[in-house]
Amino acid sequence: MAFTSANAVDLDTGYLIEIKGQVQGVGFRPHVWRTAVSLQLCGDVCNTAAGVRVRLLCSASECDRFVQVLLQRLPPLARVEQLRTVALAADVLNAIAPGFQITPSAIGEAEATVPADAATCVECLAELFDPTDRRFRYPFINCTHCGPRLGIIEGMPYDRVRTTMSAFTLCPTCAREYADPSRRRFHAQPNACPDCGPRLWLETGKGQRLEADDPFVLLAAALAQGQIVAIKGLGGFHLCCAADNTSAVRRLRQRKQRPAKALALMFRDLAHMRTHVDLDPEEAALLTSAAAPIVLCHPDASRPSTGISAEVAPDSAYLGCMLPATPLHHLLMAAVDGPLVMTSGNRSGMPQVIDNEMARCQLGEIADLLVFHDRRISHRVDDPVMRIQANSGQAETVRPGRGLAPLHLPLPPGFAATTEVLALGGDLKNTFCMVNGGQAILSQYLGDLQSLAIHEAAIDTRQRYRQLYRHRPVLVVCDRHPGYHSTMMAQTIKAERFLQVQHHHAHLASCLGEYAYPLAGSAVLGICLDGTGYGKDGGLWGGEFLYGGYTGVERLASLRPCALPGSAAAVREPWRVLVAQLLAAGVDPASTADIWPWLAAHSLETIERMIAQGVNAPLTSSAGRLFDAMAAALECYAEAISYEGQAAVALETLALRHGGSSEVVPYRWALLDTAEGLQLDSRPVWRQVVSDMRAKRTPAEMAMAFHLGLADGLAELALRLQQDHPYDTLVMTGGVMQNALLADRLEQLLNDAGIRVLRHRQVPCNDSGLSLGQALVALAMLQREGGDDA
Amino acid sequence: LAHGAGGRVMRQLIESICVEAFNNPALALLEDQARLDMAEIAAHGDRLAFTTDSYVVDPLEFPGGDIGTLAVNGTVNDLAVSGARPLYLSCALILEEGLEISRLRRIMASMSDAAGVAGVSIVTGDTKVVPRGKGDGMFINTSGIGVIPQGVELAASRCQPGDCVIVNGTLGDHGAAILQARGDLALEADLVSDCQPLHGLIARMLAVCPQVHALRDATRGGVAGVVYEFAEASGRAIRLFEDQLPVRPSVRGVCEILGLDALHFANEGKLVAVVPREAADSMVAVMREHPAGRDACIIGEVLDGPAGSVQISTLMGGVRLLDLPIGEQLPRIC
Ligand SMILES: [Fe+3]
Ligand SMILES: [Mg+2]
Ligand SMILES: [Zn+2]
Ligand SMILES: [Zn+2]
Repeated sequence: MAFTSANAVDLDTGYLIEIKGQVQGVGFRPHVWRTAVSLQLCGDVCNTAAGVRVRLLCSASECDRFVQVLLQRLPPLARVEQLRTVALAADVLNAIAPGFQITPSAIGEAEATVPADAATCVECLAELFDPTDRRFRYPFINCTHCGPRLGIIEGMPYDRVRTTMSAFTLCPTCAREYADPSRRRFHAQPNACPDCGPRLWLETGKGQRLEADDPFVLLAAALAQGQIVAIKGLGGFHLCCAADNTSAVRRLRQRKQRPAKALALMFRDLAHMRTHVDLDPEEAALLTSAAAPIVLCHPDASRPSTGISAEVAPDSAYLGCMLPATPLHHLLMAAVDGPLVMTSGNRSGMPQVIDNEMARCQLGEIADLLVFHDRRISHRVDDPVMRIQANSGQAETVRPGRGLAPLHLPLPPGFAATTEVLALGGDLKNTFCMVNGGQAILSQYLGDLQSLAIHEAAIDTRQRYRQLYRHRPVLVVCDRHPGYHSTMMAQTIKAERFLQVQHHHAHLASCLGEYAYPLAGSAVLGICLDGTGYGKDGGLWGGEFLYGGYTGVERLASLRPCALPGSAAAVREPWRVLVAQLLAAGVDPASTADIWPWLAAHSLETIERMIAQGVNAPLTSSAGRLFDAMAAALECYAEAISYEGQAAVALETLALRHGGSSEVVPYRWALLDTAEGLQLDSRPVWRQVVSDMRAKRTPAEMAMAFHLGLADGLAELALRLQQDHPYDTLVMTGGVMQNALLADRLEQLLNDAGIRVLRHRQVPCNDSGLSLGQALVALAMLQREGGDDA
Repeated sequence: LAHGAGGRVMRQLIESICVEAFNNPALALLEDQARLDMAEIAAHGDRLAFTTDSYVVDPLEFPGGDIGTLAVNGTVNDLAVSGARPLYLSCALILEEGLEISRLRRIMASMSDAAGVAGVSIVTGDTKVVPRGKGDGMFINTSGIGVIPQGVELAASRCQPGDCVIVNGTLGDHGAAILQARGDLALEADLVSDCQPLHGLIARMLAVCPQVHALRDATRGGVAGVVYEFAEASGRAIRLFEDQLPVRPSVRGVCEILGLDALHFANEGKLVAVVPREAADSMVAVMREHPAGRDACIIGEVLDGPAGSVQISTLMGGVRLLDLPIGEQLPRIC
């Protein structure tokens, strides 16, 4: 690839340019090459473990010009975070060969970012369906602008030898593309073709290999007959079936042991998707982005959907929709008529299957047909889930996954970059976060650590990340909950320091961190609406107003605590919290047989005495449990839930069914001044709910009145606190903020009052964001201590 | 019971109640210390086991026992799980002013009965009376001496992969009985504490299978607590089988409504044993012949690792990590 530049080689000045950010595996070096060639500069470029290094033989002004042109039009997946230029020493100048070369990777300190996977690009897609192209209908087509990254990487820097593609030898044609800087596949690490790359085959659930001229025709026929198909994707297997076939969806649910939680849908293209759901331009842009996430969309209310079974998302007002992210999925979707249910390939409570052998034994019982290929998956990455926030039109991550992970965030101003930190997150929706070389690296969603298999998979993923980034934590961080498995896990990791961070403080810090809010920034108010987290006082928190920042927070106010009779059992059985709320409000549950006849079937007396005597009935200020109680009152999963948050999801759906909110009179919370600070008191609401039930107010209207009233009460309390605790920035955080109806309304009210509101965007407001917050709080505490690296 | 005034009379009264109840030659001497015959002790083995524990329970009396039977059996069992034969106990009482004499007599009598059943002598003691409001009716401390026979080596660290985890009967009976007796929780269940001495059963177990690896009584913290200790001390993992756990239907019902787990409930007459797999079935058979082991069964197995991990294979077909024994059962769900 050497070429002769018009420039003289014996220039006596030269510059070294070091570039950090998402610069590997995204076509960055050819971009450098093309830029240098177009400017007729001599020098070289290579990947280092820290990023990309460019050396140029040129004058200072030529170097400036080069940088300017380089940054003007970056490759689609590239992101430059840091660019540093220094003059080259004379002896180095002589060592640089004439022309402009791309030289082999230099291994050094590991700081570079592991690139995220990217959905098939437009050019590859065109080739995929072009009968004259040599990769026509080849399920593994990719280029430097698209294809697998995290899903195949095994070491850094990102080069083919350190990916699971190293098992395939490039054929001469592919090798030429790989070596030619002028081509789209120059150093496309997973470059492959039908002659030399991965292959696909089908097996029955019983392990019998099927021969087919066109496997996709066979798959389409099977799906049309209502069969369940397992497909090996990019970061794991999927299970799919026809979305309009209710009995197929039911069978999938039953076999997967996932009775009710919403299933995602895959559509052929945007146009097809639009026949089923309303799409804003922001949603369309998000769906077609490189991450190709599942986007929570509004079903088109004007056209009752016939093509999608009601079994797909029985509780939710939203449909999780996505477009094909890999050529394999494109080929599949092109072969079938309607949308497919596309859910992760695992039995409920198990990690997504990534390995062929595991698929045979675990998915063979669920799927009638399995689609295998021989490219090994190195990292398990589930599909990402996102939504568009109504007020701002900004994307919010609900579940960090394929295409988003790993998420690299620069440390906010004021944080010392030298301490390597490992934060283990919470037990549910687990992620971990590493601080390394001035950036925080947030992993993909790993799941509930109580499941042994998920626990083991989480440890495995963490080890892989630590190897990739050559990470050696000196500080290990986890939640304060003494019963969290992540807490126990943290104690087994050898490090100099070990710190525990309060749950809601971590939620707050995770949001500040994503906005790079400075360490020395003025105090903010955080509204943390959550399920239950272990509080500083050993109580169960979850509806908190925290004032402060990374280093520390003061709990200014909360929801008025209410008993949780049965503790974890009360989380599974929402009727228990309804009883507790009624008792707190002075309503005898036994006197409500006219409105809640089903309540009488429970041992109400025992529940009442458990609360009175404090037998396994801890107090909690949780907002999530308040939603559960209201859901139970409106008979949304009052008896038991089958997945976390089910009752609250159903309550939001019920409220949205009411349509507009304009004529609804919201419930009114009381503000209580107590020794523990201000409290938002729900007791008046429950008395009103009882009388509304008797007056036969519609459940949908009551659900809406609940959402609106709670938002009003929270906003009122936030403004009241401002009098004594000045702040101009407010953070909305915690898992309950996933409730868009509540969060959008609250944000609106606060914005109307002139408050700057920070809402989670890249980092989830739910427990998947905890690990980032833990890392930042722990670092801040360490720095305040004036420890060895402050 | 009065405090202060008439102290001497009162002390004499209490002493006479105790001496009468615990009637034995060593105590009857009423010296400041018990004097034990070395030769007699040495005849039972080659090491002394010595333990102490204080007993606090609300209510003092409950179905299946009282604080006195707890104080005897608790200390006897702490000795017994080392493989020792329990011989002597001390008994220190802290009584709250206002405690009825009749109640004290009752508890001392049942304590004496429990010692008789267990075949141990209460050889020394002490009593203090504290003012009203400074004690919960009555506290008891007992210390115990036992002798470990030659060759018996029980240690939690000896659990090996493949070993079976055995319990001698139903889980959580004591914890459930106390909860019901404590306050009126309006539970309609027939709940009786399992308070009983275990050394007779343990002697039988060691006779048929001297290679028992580990043994512990599952009191506070329940079977879950013991299993976690075993896993940690041995650097192994332990997996329990949910469908094999022996729980009385009445206890199960109480657990369900209260939202508690019988694995974490206290027991006062239950042991957890870890034995080599090849000995497990015969061990269970022998245990079932003994009155204290009639419902004995295998509830789990020792796995290689990860160290300290306790797992439970569930009725749903998955394997989850057992909740950590942190005293309170707090929800992890966010
Ligand atoms: Fe949380
Ligand atoms: Mg004890
Ligand atoms: Zn491409
Ligand atoms: Zn090829």
